Order: sequence, then structure tokens, then C-alpha cells
Amino acid sequence: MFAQQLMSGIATGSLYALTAVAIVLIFRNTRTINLAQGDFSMVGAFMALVFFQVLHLSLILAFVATLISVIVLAVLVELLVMRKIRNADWLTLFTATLGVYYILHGVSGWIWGRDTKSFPNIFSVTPVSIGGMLISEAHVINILIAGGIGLLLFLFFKYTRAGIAMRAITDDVEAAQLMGIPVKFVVTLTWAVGGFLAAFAGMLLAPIIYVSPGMMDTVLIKGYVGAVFGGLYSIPGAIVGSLMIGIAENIAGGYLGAQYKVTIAFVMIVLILAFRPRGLMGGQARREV
Amino acid sequence: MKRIVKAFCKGLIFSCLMALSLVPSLSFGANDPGVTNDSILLGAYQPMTGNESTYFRMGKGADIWYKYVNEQGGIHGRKIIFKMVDDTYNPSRTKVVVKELIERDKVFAIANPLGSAPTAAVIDYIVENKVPLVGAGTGAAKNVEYPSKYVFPLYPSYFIEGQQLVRFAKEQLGGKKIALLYQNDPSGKTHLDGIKSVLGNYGVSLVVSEPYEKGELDVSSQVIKMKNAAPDVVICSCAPEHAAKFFTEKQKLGWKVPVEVVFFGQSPKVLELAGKEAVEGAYFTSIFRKTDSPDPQMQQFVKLLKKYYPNEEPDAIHMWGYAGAQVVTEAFKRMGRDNITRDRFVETLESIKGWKGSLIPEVNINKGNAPEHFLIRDFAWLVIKDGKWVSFSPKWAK
Repeated sequence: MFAQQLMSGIATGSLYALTAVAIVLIFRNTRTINLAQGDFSMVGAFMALVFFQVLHLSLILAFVATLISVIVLAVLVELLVMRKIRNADWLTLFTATLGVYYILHGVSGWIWGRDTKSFPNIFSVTPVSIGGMLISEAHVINILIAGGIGLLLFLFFKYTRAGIAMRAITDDVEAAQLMGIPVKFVVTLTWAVGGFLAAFAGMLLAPIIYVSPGMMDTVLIKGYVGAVFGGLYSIPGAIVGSLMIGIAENIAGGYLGAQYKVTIAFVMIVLILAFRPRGLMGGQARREV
Repeated sequence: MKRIVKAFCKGLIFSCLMALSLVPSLSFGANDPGVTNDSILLGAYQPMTGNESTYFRMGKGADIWYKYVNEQGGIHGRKIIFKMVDDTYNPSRTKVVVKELIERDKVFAIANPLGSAPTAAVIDYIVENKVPLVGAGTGAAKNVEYPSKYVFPLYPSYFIEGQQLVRFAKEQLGGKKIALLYQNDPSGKTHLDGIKSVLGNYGVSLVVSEPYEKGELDVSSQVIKMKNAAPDVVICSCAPEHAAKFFTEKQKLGWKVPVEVVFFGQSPKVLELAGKEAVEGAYFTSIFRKTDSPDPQMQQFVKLLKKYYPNEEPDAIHMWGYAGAQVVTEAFKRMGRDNITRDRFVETLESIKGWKGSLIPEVNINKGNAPEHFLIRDFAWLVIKDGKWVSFSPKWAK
């Protein structure tokens, strides 16, 4: 049973990681704790339903269309809301994203209704056996996709000009500006990457947690805890943190009792803030916010 | 002097007018709060938004009946104003909205509200204020066994349902070991208690009982643990969304085991969310006929729902509200036009015997406290066959 719980935990954790990484990315480049990150995914899930079930696009087309819509949404939020207040203190930025969170909740409920909707299983749910553990094909694919995106981001930051520019403004905005890096554009790009991750998270989670305006509320909190594991700075830290939460939840649920499943993430956030406030990976000292 | 007389006369006329204006209200002075010359105000808390919003169907079900009654001219010249407020199935929120309904809006009764945990949070307050609580969608022990004449539970207690589920597991499915997945709140815990109370009688053991929280993303860890305990039968005391998550998870693990789902999980949403294949063969308890029944009451319900909420698929949860509302209006009908008080309302409800004018096959309400007041008393069974609900008679009923 342990192996089974572990596997299931990794599958869930890898989906938290998509949200956690986006939170870290946006935070370290803009000092914004983006509460609307989960809602980007939620809107993505609804859009995917529209493309897939209403407009009857093919799977790939619906997927691409969703990806583009969510990226556009994230960029619009940056241009219309966050850019205007980019020099404000962190609390103002945080509160603005809270506003976006409520607006997206409200508008989605208004357009699509608050009732929970089903999302087609894109991948087969037939279980496959891996070393004696049963895991559904969908879970395997989710883990692979999340892993693939992690690798993609790594390559993006290491080898592309845009990626290097993003890292540069993470390290020192003023120096980056002096070096001729278009900071405004890079910030927009950061939000776009956030939207990209959100679209994946939304589409991969929707078959598991179904689609409703509040679908991502819990995931957002778990993703945030994952991000704190990375000191809100380290991407590998956020990924490891998210996997740990997924695993801890399942193990605690399986052995201590299901009532501990929800609490465990919060116990972990308290512990990590008390003992490793800079996150698991140590990493760079956090900037003043 | 003239001026003083004039002022006095004006004052006199004013007082007379005031006194006159009081006359109509005096003649209805016998009515309790919430009742006016042309309306009766009823209040309900409903999860209109949030994770449990599937259950808002209950509110809509009640709403269509009141709308229909109003369109027919109301009851003795009074329209029913059915005020629903959103508590998001959050008990602390329920406390606030119920206080507002009773103290600010001055509702005559709380009618057709939803939720075990929300109701458990406010039932003391409602009863202290001597406000009738009629047809709440809850079967939690505290709510349905409440020692007050003001409480009229809608359907049988989850305790009794839990006992029936064990009987079904043993006598129908031949199970010796059962597993339970339940919502970690008063509804699930009452099922758990009911199940435990008869394990000895039927010689059945509860090998594992796993709670889930409403905010939980999936129930994978619970289902893995349950599968490991190798039960013969699984009982799912789950709301529709979590029932669907259970079936999805069960399918993922390729686990074949007979499942019984409690009646509040009986919603088309389960089939829609989990997929028909995953739910095939599952048993559900039920308190109403199926929606395709030729029964004229059922047909009227389906027609009215289509009329007022054209986008809704009729299901059992709508009927909770609809049937309860039918009993409420029947009581008002029997009370006549005058002297509409809460105590008389309670007495009138208690006098309804052998009444077949609603979706409920027969309503029999006795005198006493909540346990004598159930609007619905019996269970039926359904099974999913080829992706559809089919009536099912257990062996002992044949």
C-alpha cells in the first residue's frame, strides 16, 4: 500500500508543482504573490470545455486554443492591472491579485454557472501496473507532462535570450535595465509563462477535480505552500516542495487517517517557515518585499 | 386661543387617522411575523455557490412549487415569498444568514433549507425563537431527533439509512466485510453510527471506515486504503461530487466491488462526472419515484422544472425541495385566511394524515417532536443498469 500511496502522491504533487512554479516565477520577477494563478487555470478549464464540447474542435486544436487564451488572459491582467501599480508595495500588488481572483470567480460563475461540470478524460483511466503499483495511464501522463514542462523551463532559462533576461531581472532589476534588457517586456513575458503553466495545470487537473469556479481554490493553497518550500524563489525547491506535499498528504491520509490529509500541508508550511524560512534549497537570501 | 384650538383639532384628526390606519393591522393582529395581507414570507439557506452548489437544486425545487402556487393565485389570497440566501454550505455563514432571516426579514418559517452541518449550526437558534423549521435537507441525528415541536424533518434519519445499508450488504449482496467512505461531518458520522449499531445483528464487520473532507481534491488515498482492506461491499456516504470521485478512483485502480451509495449521493451528476461506465452496477437508496414514472405528480414536477429552470435536468435533490414545499402550502391551505400563527402552523402540519396530494406517496405526520414529524418515512432502492437508474426490490421486499 505504501508504494501505491507514494505513487498517487507524486501524481497529485506534480500537478501542484505547475501552480507552485508559476507563483515562484511571478513573485521573483515582480514581487507579486499572484492569488489569481489558480483562476487562470480555472478559466483555462472552462475555455477548454468551450473549445472541445461547444465548438467541437479536435483535441490538439482545443488544447492549443486554450493555451493561447490563458496566456492572453495572464498578459491582459499584467497590462491592465499590474503594470499600473508595479512600483507599489507588495501588499498593494497582493491585494490587486486578490481583486482579480474575485473578478475571475464572479465572471466565470456568471458566464458558465456555478454548477460543477465534468471534463472529458483526455487520457485513458485504465490502470497500468508499474512494479506492482497500479496507476492510471492519465496519472502517468500527468507526471510525464509536468516533468517535461520542468525540463522545458530549465532549458528556457539556461539557453534562450528571453530566459536569461528573465533570470537577469530576477537577480537585479536595475542592473538588467542598465544592460539594456527591456524590463517591461520581460515582466509581461513572465506573466505569459505563468499563463502557460496555468493552462496546463487547468487541463490536467480538470478530469480529476472537475470544473467549477472554485475548482482551483485548494490547489492554489497547496501550490503556494509548495512555492514557500522553494523560499518563493527557487524553482527546483518549489517542485520538490509540491511533490512532498502530494506525498505527505497521501501518506498521512493512508496511515494517520484521512482527516489529516487536508491539515498536513498547513503543518508543513508552519514548520518550513519556522525552521527554514528561506526554503528547502536555501538559495539566495530573499529580497526585501 | 384660536390657534391652540386649531392645533388641537389637527392633533385630534391626526390621532384618529393613526388609529384608523391601525384598524386593518389590528384585524390581522393575530398573525405572526412574516404574514401580511397579501403575502407569507418564508426563508431558506441554500448553497447557491461553492463546492456544494449541486445541492442548490433543492432550493430550485422548492422555488418552482411556490412559483406555481403563486401563479395559481396563491393561498387564500396570499402569495408565498420564498427568500433564499446563500450560505455556501458554510455553517458559520449559515448562522449569520439565519439571524438576518429571522430578526431582520422576520420570516414566518424557515422552509426547505439545505445541509446537515449548516442546519446543526442554527437549529438551536431557530427553535429558541419558536420559528418552525420545515423540510430541511438533512438526516443528521441532531437535526432529525431534535426535541422540539417546531422541527419537521424532511426525510428519514441517516442513522436508519445506515442500518438499512448494512442489511442490504448482508441480505442482498451476501457481504461479510464492509468498508465505508463518509463525509467528515454530521451527515457522514450519523451514517457511521447507524452502520455500527447493527453490525452485530447482521454478523458483519466494518473493516475500514475512511472520512473525507469537503475541500479534498480527490479521495485516492482513502480508496487505496479501502481496497487494501479487501471488503465485500463498499458503502459510500458521499455527496454527488465525492461519490463521483470515489467511482473515478475505483475505476483507476481496476477495483471491482459492489457499492451502495446513500440517497443524498443520488444525482445524475455522479454519472456525468465519473462516466456511466465507472458507476455501472452501483446501488443507490432513494426516497422518491424515478423521474420517468407516469405518476401525475411526478409528471407535473418535471413539467414545472422545465418551465422555470429549463436548463436543469430533474433529479432527486430538486424533489427534496419540491415535495417539502408541497407539504408547507398544504398546511397553509388548511389553516384558512386568518389567525396565521406559527403554533397553529405546527398544529396543522401535525394534523396531516394519509395525504396523497404530493410527490410523496403518502404523508403522515404525528404529534410530538422532530422524530414524529418526518414528511417522508420510507426508502426505495435503485441500481444503475446500462447507465440508467432502475428500480430495484431487495430480497426481503419481494
